[in-house]
Amino acid sequence: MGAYVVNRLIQMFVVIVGISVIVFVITNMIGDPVNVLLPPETPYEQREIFREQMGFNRPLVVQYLDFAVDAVRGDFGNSFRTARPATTIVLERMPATLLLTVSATLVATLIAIPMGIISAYKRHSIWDNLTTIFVVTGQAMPIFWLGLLLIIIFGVNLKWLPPSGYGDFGIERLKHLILPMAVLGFFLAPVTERLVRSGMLDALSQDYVRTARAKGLSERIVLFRHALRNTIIPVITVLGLQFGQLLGGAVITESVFAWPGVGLLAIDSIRNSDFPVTQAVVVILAVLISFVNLSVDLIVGVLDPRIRR
Amino acid sequence: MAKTGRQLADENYARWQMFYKKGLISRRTMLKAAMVWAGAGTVGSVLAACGGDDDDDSPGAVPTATTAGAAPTATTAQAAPTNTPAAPAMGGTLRVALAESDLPTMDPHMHNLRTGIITFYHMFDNLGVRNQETLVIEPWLAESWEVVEPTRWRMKLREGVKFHDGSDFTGATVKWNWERITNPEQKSPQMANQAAVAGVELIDDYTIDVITHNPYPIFTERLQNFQMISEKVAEKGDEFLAENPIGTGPYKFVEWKKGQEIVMTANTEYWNPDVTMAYTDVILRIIPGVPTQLAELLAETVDIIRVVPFDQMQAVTNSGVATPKVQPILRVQFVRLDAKGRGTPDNPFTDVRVRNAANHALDIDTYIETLQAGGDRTPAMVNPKHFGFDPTIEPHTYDPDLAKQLLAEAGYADGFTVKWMTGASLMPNATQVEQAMQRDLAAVGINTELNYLSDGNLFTTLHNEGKGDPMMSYSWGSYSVFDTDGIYWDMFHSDSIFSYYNNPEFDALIEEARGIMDSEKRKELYSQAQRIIRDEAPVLFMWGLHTVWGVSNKVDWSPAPDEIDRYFWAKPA
Repeated sequence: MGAYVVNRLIQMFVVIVGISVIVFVITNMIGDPVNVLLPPETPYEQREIFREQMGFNRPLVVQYLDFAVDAVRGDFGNSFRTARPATTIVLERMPATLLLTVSATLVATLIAIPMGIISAYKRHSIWDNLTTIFVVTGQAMPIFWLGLLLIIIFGVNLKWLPPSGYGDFGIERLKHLILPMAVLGFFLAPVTERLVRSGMLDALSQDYVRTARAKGLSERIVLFRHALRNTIIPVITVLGLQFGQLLGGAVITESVFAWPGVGLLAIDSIRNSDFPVTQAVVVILAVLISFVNLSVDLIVGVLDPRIRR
Repeated sequence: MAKTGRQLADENYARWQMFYKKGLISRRTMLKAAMVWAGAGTVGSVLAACGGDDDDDSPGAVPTATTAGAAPTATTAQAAPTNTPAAPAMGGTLRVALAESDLPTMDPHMHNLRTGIITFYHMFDNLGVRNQETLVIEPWLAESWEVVEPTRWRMKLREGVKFHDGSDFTGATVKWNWERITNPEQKSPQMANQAAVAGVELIDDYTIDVITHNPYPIFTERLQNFQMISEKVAEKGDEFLAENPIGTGPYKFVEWKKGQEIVMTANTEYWNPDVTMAYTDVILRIIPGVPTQLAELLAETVDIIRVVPFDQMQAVTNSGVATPKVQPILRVQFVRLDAKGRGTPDNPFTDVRVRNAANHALDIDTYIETLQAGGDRTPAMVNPKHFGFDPTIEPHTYDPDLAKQLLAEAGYADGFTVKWMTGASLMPNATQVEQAMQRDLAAVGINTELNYLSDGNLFTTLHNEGKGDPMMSYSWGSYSVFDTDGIYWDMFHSDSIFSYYNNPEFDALIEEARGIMDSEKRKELYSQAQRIIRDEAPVLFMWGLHTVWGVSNKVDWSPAPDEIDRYFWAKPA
């Protein structure tokens, strides 16, 4: 197990360095920081002096090494736009994103696992067909469209829930959370549901299940202790991957619902050519996603000793 | 008028809520206050109260009906003394969808955003502001001004004005503000606005002389977007100013929830009795995405949105809860032509006949009628709202035959193909307008390839560095300077980084007009300059934009022609 963890940590390091190089090069390619930092009417000579003062005229490799050394210490420089430390800005937005993604993953799982079990157990029944419809709709509907639809129904017409925003801490926050959480959950649930269903179908036709039934074990024990446990490993892997995706991919949901998370910050910082913040968002998310994936792999390793080898 | 018990309870409760938000009292104390408040009236559960339920704050739920009808019309509220009865009722919360992305700072000198100007117009004051009817700048924090020498303006300042922290507004304040904004070390994005100012001399505590480098006829225009910061507060440093807007304005800063909202509360000791705020609190929300803003307006959770798409105006009207309000603004839309071959040497538009041909090919009136919520034609780029606009200048006629003839004369009888750089636009229906123009240009033989750049910064960089296509969609808000200088200098003077046009005769005219104080003479010079621009057609002339706000039917409020929303005008309808 020790060697496995070290191996995974090295892989993680390579991934994060790779991502930081990519984001650094791309941000420097798409725009000139001097244009962002100086007013448009600044004369050419002054621009060049400024470029030299800031070190923007040095080779990109040298600038990257500078950036990397600071980044390791958690310093991504100050935002071009607000002059505040980029790391602080990203961390300020992290709780909102975590709240949204964790709750959406939770909701998706709570819906998907029972649905998957039922539709596998009652194969070709009305329940199976209904879940298939749910799955196809969930995957076919674009997030922004579903988001707007829910806003119009529950926010504008029924007025049950606030259309957008974050709300104050407490009940208000929960009210504001429901719609974006539902949208993300609806988007996530289908994959998990399909995995559970096919895994269960596979498990239910296995010899050990037949044996368990033959022993006269109750259906509940057969289903949950024997079949589900063997189905759940790929589900956990996928949930981990999905959660990582969500951290960076809640961008659209956050925009539609004005949810002040990291995704929204990413869009804002790209739109305003705020390179330090863009870089901080990408690298911090990469680190976070890598850790989530690592923990998932470790959990799976514990559950299934074969993977550790 | 006497307050009811309910009103008193509401006020008390609001105060407790503010204490709680500032962390001055515990949650337990807050709950107690909420229970007392809930007991005083009939609405709201304790839970809802503690969560700050939006519904309870909505303007309709607040007992302010007494002001309805007695309130003056919005546009005159600021301009002239009003006939409002004494001690008008104040209450409730006005919620505005301010912008799609947050402000970078709370320091009014360290941004160049329209939404920043609007925000700081509420918490700070300017030396002068625009009268919304005459469009002329009138004294505000200044009491009066006069030109004592061509480069010296003497300004009397209003006495007894205090900042929200209690410090005094004096001549030293004004001097400090000008010195700060013009200091290159400060790197204020607004520095260029005040570049004409050489220095400020204190005559006494409330009298100052402002010295300009040259005679500067549009000096007062520069006073209306220059908010006064307290020099005492500024001693705490720029980082403090970036988070704590402490001004003299009609609203006081409460809280900035980054990426979410800016909360302000009425300044009950505001120096100007003519400004009567009807709403106790104003919340400026950041809502990315116009569709979501629209949903908030229709859900009655937001009272004012600043953009209503043209195709949604009918939906807003039909909703019965809000109304679209159209307002002509100073911003002028046009397509720049590379007349001097700055980006593409020897492109067809370096020939004046081709530029005029392209203008004759366009059916501008039809575009305005069918694709816009209105528009003011600009025969020579100057908006009718700009000082110096010459109404006798005729716009280009829609005449495809004449266009073809001019093209043939220029040697393009078979037409030609050019690139047209465009991007995100402030014009409603921009894509449809450009497609219509494309079709009409193609009809006379000018084939265009639209090159859409979604990155606004890239567009600006290419445009300003002279790497733009032969055609470039552009608009200019003149930095809210209602003077021909505000558009002609930046857009067409050969020294300007925005300019793709070079005409020494034109340069000389606007240089002269910039350096003299005689208004009649200036008008004459600008009239000549407009004739040159009309005939030389360095752009495809379009129109002054009309933009559309969405306003809740529960609120009586109108947008301003200078694009600076004043929410302190708003009253319950």
